[in-house]
Amino acid sequence: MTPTVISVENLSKSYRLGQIGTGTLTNDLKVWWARTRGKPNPLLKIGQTDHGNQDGETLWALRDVSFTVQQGEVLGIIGRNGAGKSTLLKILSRVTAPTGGCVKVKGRIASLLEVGTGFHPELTGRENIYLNGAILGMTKQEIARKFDEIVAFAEVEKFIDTPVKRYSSGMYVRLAFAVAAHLESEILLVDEVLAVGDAEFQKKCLGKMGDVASKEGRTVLFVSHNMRAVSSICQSCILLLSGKIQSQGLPNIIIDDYLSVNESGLNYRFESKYIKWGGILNTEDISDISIDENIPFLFKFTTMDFNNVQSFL
Amino acid sequence: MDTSPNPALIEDQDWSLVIKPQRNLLDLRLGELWQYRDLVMLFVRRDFVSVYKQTILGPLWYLIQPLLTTITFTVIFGGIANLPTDGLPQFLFYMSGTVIWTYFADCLTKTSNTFVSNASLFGKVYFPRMAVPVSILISNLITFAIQFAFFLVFMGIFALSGSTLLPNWWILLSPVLIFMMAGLGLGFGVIISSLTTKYRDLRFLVQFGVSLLMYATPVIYPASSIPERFQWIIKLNPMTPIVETFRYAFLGAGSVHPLDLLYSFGFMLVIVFLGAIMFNRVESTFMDTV
Repeated sequence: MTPTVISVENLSKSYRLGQIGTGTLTNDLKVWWARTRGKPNPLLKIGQTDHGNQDGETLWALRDVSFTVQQGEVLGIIGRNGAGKSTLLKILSRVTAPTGGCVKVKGRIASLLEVGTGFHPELTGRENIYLNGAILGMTKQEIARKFDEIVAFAEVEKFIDTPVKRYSSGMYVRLAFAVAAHLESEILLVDEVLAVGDAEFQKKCLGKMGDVASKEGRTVLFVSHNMRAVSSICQSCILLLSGKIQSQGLPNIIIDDYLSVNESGLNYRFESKYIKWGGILNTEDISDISIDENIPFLFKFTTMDFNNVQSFL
Repeated sequence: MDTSPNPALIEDQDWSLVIKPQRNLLDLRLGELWQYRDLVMLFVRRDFVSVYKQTILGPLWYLIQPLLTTITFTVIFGGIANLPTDGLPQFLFYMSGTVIWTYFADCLTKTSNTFVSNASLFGKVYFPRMAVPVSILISNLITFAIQFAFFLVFMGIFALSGSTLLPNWWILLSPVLIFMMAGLGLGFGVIISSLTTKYRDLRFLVQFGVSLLMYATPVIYPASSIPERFQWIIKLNPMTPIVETFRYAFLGAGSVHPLDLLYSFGFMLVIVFLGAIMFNRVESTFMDTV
């Protein structure tokens, strides 16, 4: 039996909506002074209730999330914007602390939340490999040992002694990914980094991630909106919805679930100025659908067979 | 987790990391910082290499800065205002003050920006946050060493040309004095950086506050020139005994009071302790407020 390397137990994270504090030091002090004397918050508007230190509402980015991950597993985490995917990775990578619950981890965690983190534009590619590797938790010897491999993977041999500010964005991204992919960590967190780079490099990255898990026995948590990537490299998948786990299981089933989730249930339905459409999607049809959630209602279809869509509008 | 019996949980493995909402404030995790020592040194290197890239004079700027400041002070405070210098050559008097003060001031101002200027980095990846302020102390220490060596060169020149300088055994205390300055700078710096995650006002305060503080420290005047009834004010400043002792050790003029030094040392310990606790408290969730 493969051992569990990550155990997430009742993890919750809340954020306060609106302004943090009262905005100024004097007002914060007034509130603090009133409270220490047992008086109500002097800045409270009539009708507002005093709940602790916070005026605004609380948003639960994650609420009671529990799951476990086995060693060597590639777990996909999908969900709409604001579902809590990035918050989950941030807690796992210790960028921010949870509000409740706990996470138990076995092994080193390296996060690849955004490529090029900590790159200094004035430094050369070589210097940045060392700096970035160290930021991600490698020691100097580890980086030195992997140096050639990293440079070869990034395909930047010729430019290794050029400051990275002169790099093209593609070279920059390739170098950054290469450093992170060669980390000697047992667990790798990946958030949406494959949206950059050309098709060939994306393929290479996906291949590398698959190798990392299957050949080296490392565990990967992969957050993405790219359903094809998720279904091709993940062995299991979690669908988050408003900070809770909606479903978890095999990638194809969960992706199907994701694409069909909305308020009314199993159907996907959308409306905009230009188009009004809804239907039941088969998994085969959505193999090439991508949903850009930053632009409301922008759907791109490539091999969509509209004859198979059962329209109900 | 009773509802889903998980064999792995029952085994109760030796987890290498447990992420929980609140950490013990006194748990400073210095061992972890030690693990990341390569990162600290790479940060130091980055600070050095990147600062003077694309400059013609490069590292010479480390020498030009104190030189120009000293000349300015000599002209204005020595020449025009005619402030006393305990009988020392004005140039050496101001240069010693400037070099020492710059170390403290740089440690303070640079560490006070830790959270705000590294927000994008801290928001993406975890490493012990203390690595940044510690690397600032080290890179400033190197700058200080260069500038102090420069000062010693001038000291030699003045000694050869006949000035009476009386370096003495107090010199042996200089590592302790440097340590105290680093501690004070770090302590104040991390307190301010922890507070600036919520109140940006403090950044403005630091900028001119440090230069005002210089006038409350015997940098451009000797402590002996202060009238007796105001002495206690200047003695409240923990930097006063450090600057005075430094000057006495190397140049032979100034005042050394062991009790005042002890006061500074205690002050430094308290500030470092407070700073470490505040830093520890802020670092786990500062991304939510910064």
